[in-house]
Amino acid sequence: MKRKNDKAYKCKKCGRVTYPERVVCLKCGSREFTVLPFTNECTLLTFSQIFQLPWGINDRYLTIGVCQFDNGIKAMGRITIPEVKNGMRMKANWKLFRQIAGEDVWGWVFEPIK
Amino acid sequence: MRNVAIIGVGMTDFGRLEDDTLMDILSSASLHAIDDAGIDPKLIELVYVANMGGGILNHRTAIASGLVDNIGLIPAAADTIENGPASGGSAIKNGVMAVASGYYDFVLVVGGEKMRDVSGWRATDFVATLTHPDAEYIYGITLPGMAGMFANLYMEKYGYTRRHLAEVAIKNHKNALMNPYAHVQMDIAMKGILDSPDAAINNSPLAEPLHLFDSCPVSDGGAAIILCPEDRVKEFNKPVICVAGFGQATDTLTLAERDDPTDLKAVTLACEQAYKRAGITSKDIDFAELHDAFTILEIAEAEHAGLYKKGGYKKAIESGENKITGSLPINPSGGLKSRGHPVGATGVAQAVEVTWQLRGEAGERQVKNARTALTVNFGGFGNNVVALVLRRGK
Ligand SMILES: [Zn+2]
Repeated sequence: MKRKNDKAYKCKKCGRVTYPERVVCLKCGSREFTVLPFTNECTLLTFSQIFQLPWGINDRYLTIGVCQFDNGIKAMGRITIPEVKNGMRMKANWKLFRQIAGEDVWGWVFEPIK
Repeated sequence: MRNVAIIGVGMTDFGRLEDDTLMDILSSASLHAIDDAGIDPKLIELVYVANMGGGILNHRTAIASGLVDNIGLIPAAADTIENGPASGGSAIKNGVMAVASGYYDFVLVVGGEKMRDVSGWRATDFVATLTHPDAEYIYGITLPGMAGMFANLYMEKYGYTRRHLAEVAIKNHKNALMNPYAHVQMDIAMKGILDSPDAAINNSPLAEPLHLFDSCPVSDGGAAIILCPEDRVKEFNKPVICVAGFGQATDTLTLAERDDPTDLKAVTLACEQAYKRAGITSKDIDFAELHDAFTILEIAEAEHAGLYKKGGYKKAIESGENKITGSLPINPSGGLKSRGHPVGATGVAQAVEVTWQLRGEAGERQVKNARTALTVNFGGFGNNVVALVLRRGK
């Protein structure tokens, strides 16, 4: 399955950042975008240590959060440890982190910068 | 456009309905509403069924077709409406438009869900399918997880503590003790869920900062209402309860993309539309049924609906004015927190509760002197919200 989470975009007309992909800019209605590369680092905006996970996940808990990359892209991802705080600087790693129905799934894994 | 009234309401018990199928639940709720109205079923020309999980949880689709067959309403028009946890509110909105427009006179709106057919592990996954498949779902996010991330920010920004959340849970559990239909019939106290060493075990973390008692249960259940033009209410022995206004608004699918993730814009917009259509302001609301799937949502919705300013619900919690005996009761039914949350049924169950309250039929949990009420049915994580204003009299 093609997962549309590996690229972020910037609207050619108004500059609004879009992630994940959509076909029309929410701000100006333009349909033209350029690819906006992710930066290596980001800032943790919010997170939760989550128990009682969905079917298919055997972990006792996961820490999941939302980070803002230094160029404005915002994305959800897994966080390597639960001992984090809002506003912390994080390294953004694009990783193969699970399988769903036998399919490899890539996504963001954030780790605090020491 | 015609004024639209509710002439019949009914619901099943909410909880674990082991012996009932989804169709049993929808049928039972529908018949309760038909009997309550005292309507000849032949008059019902349109049926809206609100359901989110029939296909995934119960391996059953085209549910509206099955329902009209089972309860003898053929050849009435029938549609299933799936709009996540806001399916019930959406179905009512569509029923209201069908009557207001003049196309139909008598419309049955029923919502139902059979979630306990599967394990909690599967039910959690089912609800998570409403998140973005490629940018949220893959990470193992849950709806409690979304609420946890939201609570993390909201509590920090507006100065809420876990004690405030616990107060909401305690109130809604107490209200549900007076609601014979409620799923959770359990009195809880601050000591047991926050203020003792046992609390760490009784009230374990669910999605930090939210704990078990901050969350609604996974429920089976159904609820139904019958709508008609206000000028035909006199044919039935019922008081006039009108759907004075509705509103609905959407927001970005992902929480991350909102400029301010603590701003539930769709709640504000939906409520403003509903107030405007009803010709009122938030000050005219006498009580409300809010979508407290998590305690933090009762707080945030009360504030985004304009009932309080941001951070202002603390005052209601501390003074107790949000209790049934207070000046602005919130969730007299026990809310999703304790009445339960069979997702497709919830929006309809809110309207059933409000109708009972406005008729003066709510028994022990009756809100005094209420004339105008608000419901908020919160879909996704705030990306699709339906608000209704119901009023006694025209
Ligand atoms: Zn644009």
